[in-house]
Amino acid sequence: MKDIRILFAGNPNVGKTTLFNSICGVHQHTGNYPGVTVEIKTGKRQINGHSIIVSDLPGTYSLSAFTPDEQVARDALLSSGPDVVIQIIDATNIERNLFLTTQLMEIGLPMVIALNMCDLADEQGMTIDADCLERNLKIPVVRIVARKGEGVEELIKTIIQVSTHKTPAVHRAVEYPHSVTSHISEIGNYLSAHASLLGSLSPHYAAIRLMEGDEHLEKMLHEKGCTIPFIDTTDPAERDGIAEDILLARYKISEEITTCSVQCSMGRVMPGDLIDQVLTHRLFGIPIFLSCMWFAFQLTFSASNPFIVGIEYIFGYFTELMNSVDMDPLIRSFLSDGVIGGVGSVLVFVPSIFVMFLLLSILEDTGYLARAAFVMDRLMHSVGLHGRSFIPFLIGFGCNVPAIMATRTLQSRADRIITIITIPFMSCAARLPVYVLFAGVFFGAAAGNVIFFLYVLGIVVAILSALIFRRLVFKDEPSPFIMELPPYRKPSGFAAAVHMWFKGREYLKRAGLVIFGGVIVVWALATLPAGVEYGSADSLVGIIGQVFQPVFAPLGFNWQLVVGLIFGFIAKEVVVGSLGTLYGGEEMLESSLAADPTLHPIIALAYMVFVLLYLPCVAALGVIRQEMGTWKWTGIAIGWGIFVAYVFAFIIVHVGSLFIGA
Amino acid sequence: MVPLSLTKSGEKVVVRSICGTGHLAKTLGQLGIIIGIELTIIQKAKESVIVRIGESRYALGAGAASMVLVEPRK
Amino acid sequence: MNNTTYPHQYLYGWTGIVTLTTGIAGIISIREGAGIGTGLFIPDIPGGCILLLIAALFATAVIKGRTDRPGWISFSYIGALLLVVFAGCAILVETGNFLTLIMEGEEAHLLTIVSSSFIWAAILAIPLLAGVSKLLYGCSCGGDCCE
Repeated sequence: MKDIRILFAGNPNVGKTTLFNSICGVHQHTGNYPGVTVEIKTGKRQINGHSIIVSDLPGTYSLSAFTPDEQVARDALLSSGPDVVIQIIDATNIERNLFLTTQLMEIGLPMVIALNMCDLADEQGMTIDADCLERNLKIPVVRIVARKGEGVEELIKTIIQVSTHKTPAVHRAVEYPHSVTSHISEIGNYLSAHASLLGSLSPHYAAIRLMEGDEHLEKMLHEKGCTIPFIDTTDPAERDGIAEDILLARYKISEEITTCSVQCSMGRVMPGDLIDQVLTHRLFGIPIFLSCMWFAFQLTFSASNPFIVGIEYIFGYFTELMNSVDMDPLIRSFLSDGVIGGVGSVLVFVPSIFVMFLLLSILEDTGYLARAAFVMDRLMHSVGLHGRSFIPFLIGFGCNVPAIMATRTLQSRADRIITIITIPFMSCAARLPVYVLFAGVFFGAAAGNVIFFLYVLGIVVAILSALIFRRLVFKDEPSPFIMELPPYRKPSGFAAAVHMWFKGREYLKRAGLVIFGGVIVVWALATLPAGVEYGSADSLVGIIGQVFQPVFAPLGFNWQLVVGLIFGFIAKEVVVGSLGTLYGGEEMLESSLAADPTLHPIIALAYMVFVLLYLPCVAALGVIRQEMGTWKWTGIAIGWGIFVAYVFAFIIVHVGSLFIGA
Repeated sequence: MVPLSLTKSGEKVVVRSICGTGHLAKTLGQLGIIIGIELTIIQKAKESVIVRIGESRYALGAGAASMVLVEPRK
Repeated sequence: MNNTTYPHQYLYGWTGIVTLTTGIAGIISIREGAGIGTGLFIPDIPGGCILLLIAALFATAVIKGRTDRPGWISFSYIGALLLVVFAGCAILVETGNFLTLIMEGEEAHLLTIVSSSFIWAAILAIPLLAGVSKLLYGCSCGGDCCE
């Protein structure tokens, strides 16, 4: 049997990724806010001898493609030539979703509609006549509940059936007023003569797209030297008028079909509205958000602490075991300094990271994050950021890499560049071990507060950077903020735990590969050249550290700390890993740090601040380059980070030493 | 007619005009904020608003809210 | 709307009591944090500020409730929900700290787990949360509480 290639299209936050996970049996991240998927993800499923290749597209309200993630979706729909397009529709909000249907139908590809979240629609007292929907659209409709996997098998059957149809798909046509149809046929006739330029688009469909204002297509045709009738000969105001007529025609058909197939009790007060009145209150909104964050950080630090102590015990036991066994000194050094010292000191922080992913995932599921974006919009706007940048920022607390990719949901390039430059100041999970270690050693009971301070500092620096770049470089206003607010949902502890496990496992894999590798390199450099005392100033790593140390001398960092910073570029976890190796192993790390005469709380604070701000890791750097598109902006982003980190650490060391009277 | 940014929380209004053209007007159009549609104002925080259309809720920042002109539903 | 005909006058009155207790709990926490206090509760200045914030939510609920029933319901619901959730977090945090101390072989008192002032304020808010969340969902199902 041949492969069946299908595309998942639909509005943002209708459950495309949930369905994708359920069909392909994988775990892609989902969240209860729009714009979680920003690139195409592909999966495969074998069924009855058919092999179904599924591509999950970013959510889009229409095919007009204003933002990069929408462009990705549109290009895939128009040029990849899939066998079937599946539109996933939120059953609780059919009318709005049908707008996209009216655009998808016109492409002329075979379609299936998956009516998702039917259980929620039932709960809200809506009756949906799927057959009526099917008759009106001339597209098969399947009811599903993607979250529970209900109806998925039937959906697959329908997909196979549709894809084996020999006859071309004929869907319901949108009825445009005469003023529009006459222009469509005029442009369509012209384009028929130049059909080779259009690729797989039909002239009729291309004409509609041009009238709707598809700048991409228009530009492409102009480049090929076409003068399109109507589009190039009419003034913009009249074109806008026609575009609006098309829009209205689409809404009219959406409304018509909804009225005939959906019955519900409209006009009631919804609990979500009442909750919104408090959570987005103009006075209470921001304090409520800050209190939630404060508790999240307290939990991350305190609730994971017993596990950390437990893991430390296990490593301590291994160290003792090794010391009691007779073995070659080099192997012993490798095992105790390199493996246990380096990797152990990173693994110790796995519990904190698990707790953090769990909390972020719970917050995402409730739908509160989108409200937080609204609450923060005014604040963000006043510092020159777009309200939507807030969600990439929050993702950035987990990991900067997906956060930078999430900036694709922003429309204007200036908004995107500023957001990407500021995201690395959001303290990602990999930086947490550095704080936990240093704050724990030098600040004792106040460690939780110090860590909270660091996160806040990261946000403050991000705000300052945004202000500077917006005022001095771009000199324009952020584009207006418009965002859909998802409905509130009860978070599922199970789903959050699953998400935490997958995220945490990624971290563990990294600890196993990148961090282990980095730590081994540090160990080797600390052992060579042969005969030197391990990790001393005469070893290679000591020499490297001392070469760079003068640069950091004004900040009071010793060469061991400098080595940590240099290798931290591979991944921030390696900072702690290499310090573990240099300071005599995981077991000894805390006590040797506390005993080091060159270190005191102020320097520890400066070091933590430097690690927070200085440089994204290699992975984040790669994504920054990819999303910025130019080395120029990538370079600016990196240079700015190092500059800011140096300045802040310098201020802390010098102002701080005034206070302790050093 | 008043801009959406000057309405009160809890009001029901009808969109009468959308100022400006270009991406913003089109984005609003795709979300269903078009002339003649009825909106419920859920929240007003300074000049930002949250509105409900049918089952969808949208947050509009001050800039976007000031471009939508509405009048109270009769 | 006249308060004496309130079908939920006890619940409304309870909101007033919870406002007071939450406010007092907040002040105690801040005083402990500043070093002037009984030593019975955990010193926690940021936590105290959060308690005061929640008390302000309850107070808004009480003031709104005189004329605007949905306003009372929504503010007291969010206030009680936050208080209960945060109290849960506080228990977890203190349990974590307690276990850490035990495992490190230091002296620890089991009582510290329940000596966060959040917990005591939250216990009083549980009946409010139960009652008000019923009303909140009642509103959404076209009930008569809002009209």
